[in-house]
Amino acid sequence: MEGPKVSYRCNVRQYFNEEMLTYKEATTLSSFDDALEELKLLKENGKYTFVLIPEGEVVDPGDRGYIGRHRSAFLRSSKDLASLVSKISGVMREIFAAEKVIAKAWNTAVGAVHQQADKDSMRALQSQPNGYEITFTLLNPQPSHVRASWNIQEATKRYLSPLLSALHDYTNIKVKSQYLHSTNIGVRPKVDQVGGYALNIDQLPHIINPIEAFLGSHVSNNPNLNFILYIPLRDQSPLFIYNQNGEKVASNAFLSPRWGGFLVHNVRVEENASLPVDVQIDERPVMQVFAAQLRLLLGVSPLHHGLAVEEAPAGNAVITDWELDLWLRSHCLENLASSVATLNSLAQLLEKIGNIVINDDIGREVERAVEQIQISHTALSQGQLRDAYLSSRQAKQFSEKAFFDPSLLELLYFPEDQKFAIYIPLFLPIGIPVVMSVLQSLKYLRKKNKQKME
Amino acid sequence: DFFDSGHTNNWAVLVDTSRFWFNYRHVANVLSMYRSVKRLGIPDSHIIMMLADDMACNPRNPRPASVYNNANQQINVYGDDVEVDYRGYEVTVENFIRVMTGRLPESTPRSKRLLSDDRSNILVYMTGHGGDGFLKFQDAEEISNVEMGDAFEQMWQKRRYHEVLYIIDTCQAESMFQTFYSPNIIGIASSKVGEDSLSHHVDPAIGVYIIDRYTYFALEFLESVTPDSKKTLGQFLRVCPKYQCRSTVAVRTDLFQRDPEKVLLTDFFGSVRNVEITMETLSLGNETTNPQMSNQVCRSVNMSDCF
Repeated sequence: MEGPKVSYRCNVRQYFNEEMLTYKEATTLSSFDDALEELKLLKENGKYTFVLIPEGEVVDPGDRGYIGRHRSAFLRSSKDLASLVSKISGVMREIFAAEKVIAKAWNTAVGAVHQQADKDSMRALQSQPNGYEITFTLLNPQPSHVRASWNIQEATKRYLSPLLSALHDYTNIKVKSQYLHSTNIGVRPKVDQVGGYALNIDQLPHIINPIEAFLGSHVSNNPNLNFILYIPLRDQSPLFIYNQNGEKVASNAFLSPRWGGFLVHNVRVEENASLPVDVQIDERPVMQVFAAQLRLLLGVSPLHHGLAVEEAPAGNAVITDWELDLWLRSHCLENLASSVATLNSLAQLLEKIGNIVINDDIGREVERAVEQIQISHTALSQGQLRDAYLSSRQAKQFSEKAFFDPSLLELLYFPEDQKFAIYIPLFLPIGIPVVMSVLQSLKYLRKKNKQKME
Repeated sequence: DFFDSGHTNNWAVLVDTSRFWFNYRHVANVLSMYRSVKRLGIPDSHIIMMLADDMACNPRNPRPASVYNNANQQINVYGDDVEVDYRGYEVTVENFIRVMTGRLPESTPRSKRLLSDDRSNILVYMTGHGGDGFLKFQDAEEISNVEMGDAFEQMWQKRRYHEVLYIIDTCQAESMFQTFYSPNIIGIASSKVGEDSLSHHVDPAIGVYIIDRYTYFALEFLESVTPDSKKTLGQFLRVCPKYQCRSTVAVRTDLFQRDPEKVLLTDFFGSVRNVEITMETLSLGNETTNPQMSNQVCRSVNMSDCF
């Protein structure tokens, strides 16, 4: 299948004086990157800057080049134009525009080829125009032993608000938290060699199911991501997750695709402490794991590009500006592809079931969806990523609404192949007297005619 | 390894279409399946159960709040907690089709919806009184095999499933999936066209038949399956041979892409999660990059967007 076409426009210019000033003040690449971003009057999604810096300066991107947290890449300028151009186009195509990622997003959403197990498309939730829910759960099976508490509200505000505010215009994310006491995971850890307890990789799939029922019911129909902080039982601590090679996992955490993350948090309790012990959880290391998992589950996947280039970690921002662009771009294409597919299958459905009634509301939804798809296409071709995404989101909402409209099932009791069976009991009792009286009257008329003839 | 089955979540739709005390066995059938999928790990939130009648609390039930699969009371299939999503007169063809195709009124709660996606494996189990090409719902109406096939096609068009295991225990059950035409569905029926499906035995204490043959032996097989078991779908297809069932169990595999002998039974009956170990964490500093701004965002928008 053909993927989407990507076209690029570029121009080259000298630095402005303000930019030179910030450059002189900057000591590291990342501070220069931040300062450059401050200068920009127009911060536009989908526009990127390559900054060429001569060799031997204080701020040196090195041979490999450096990709900042915003929408800039820094390369060492060189006389060898060919290699410079190939580097720039490589970064552009494989990182900023990530052609492979968006092609995959398109193809998965079109749905014609259902690829076999593919990590990146299976891990992240599908694009949900209505939004997502996130639930943080502190799972403490023995509150009589450890009385754990966390300030998850503060932690979310501190560590996740950059991500939430970056996505705020584009999708609706609700965050909830809860304590869950006296509920335990479904597996029994084994004793490991170093005096702790081990959860092996083949036990991990069975951990989630027993607690799933207690995670609460959700009022909204949006998909929910669960993040669970688990405090092990007293006689199973310390507890560690082991990978397939039998090594301890440093993060002590795993994720389950389209479901959420699970983190084991060991609590050290002194031998003769009086129970229950109060424990205040340090949220920073917890959020470092959860934020990394959340990125993956929301679809900010690693790019698997083969380029030797240094990328600035997202750090406190949780999502870099160019990652946000990529998220918008791939979700925009996913929305477009899936709303086109939805409208197509609605059309096919109508062709097959000819007497289905499309009321005006559905007709309007379809028209609106088509209109938004066109707007989104135009915006995309002009490089207006933000508008394109917002229109595609509406297109998906409208087309889903049309497809799932409850009134489409009103003819359920009137199927084409059973029309006869429906009509017969209705018309046969009425039909018999009607037919009989017609016959009678014919007979009568004929008799009358005969009499006249005579 | 992670992700070799191609699905990330499991759903079950379990439907009993007949009511009244003399159809006790149909309710016992569905509860048997419910017990198995729940024991093997599908949570209630992912099970849509439709029960046309409440046998456990029927005044004629000499053992209130329990439904057994056997006169010797071996297994109480009613269990300790049962979540019925559609009950009594809510079990209609319309509601069933609405659940499958997702065309529900907006006010429908999450627990009554099949919120599956393109990576969902769905187990659909139906039981009741049927004939050649239909299954009767509550004495009042019936679903035809054409409608059933169309419903699956609409689900496929909208990518509401990855794979479906369709089991039906009724007379002439095979006719129900003969009209299916959407990919990735495997069908099991308790009897061929022209055959009746028979019940297993009478429990004198309740005065009626207690369970149907096919489901009785299927439950017996499923009781030996554990969440981490390696039993395959192929083995399950051979459950209840003719000398046990007295009817011929019919199977349709031509729509299914994989070899049933290599498909784990828990791909449908259980909910074995894919997992991926987290290798990288994000390094977060103690301060946000721009605390002032983020506070503003929280204040300016609805509080729930922040918490």
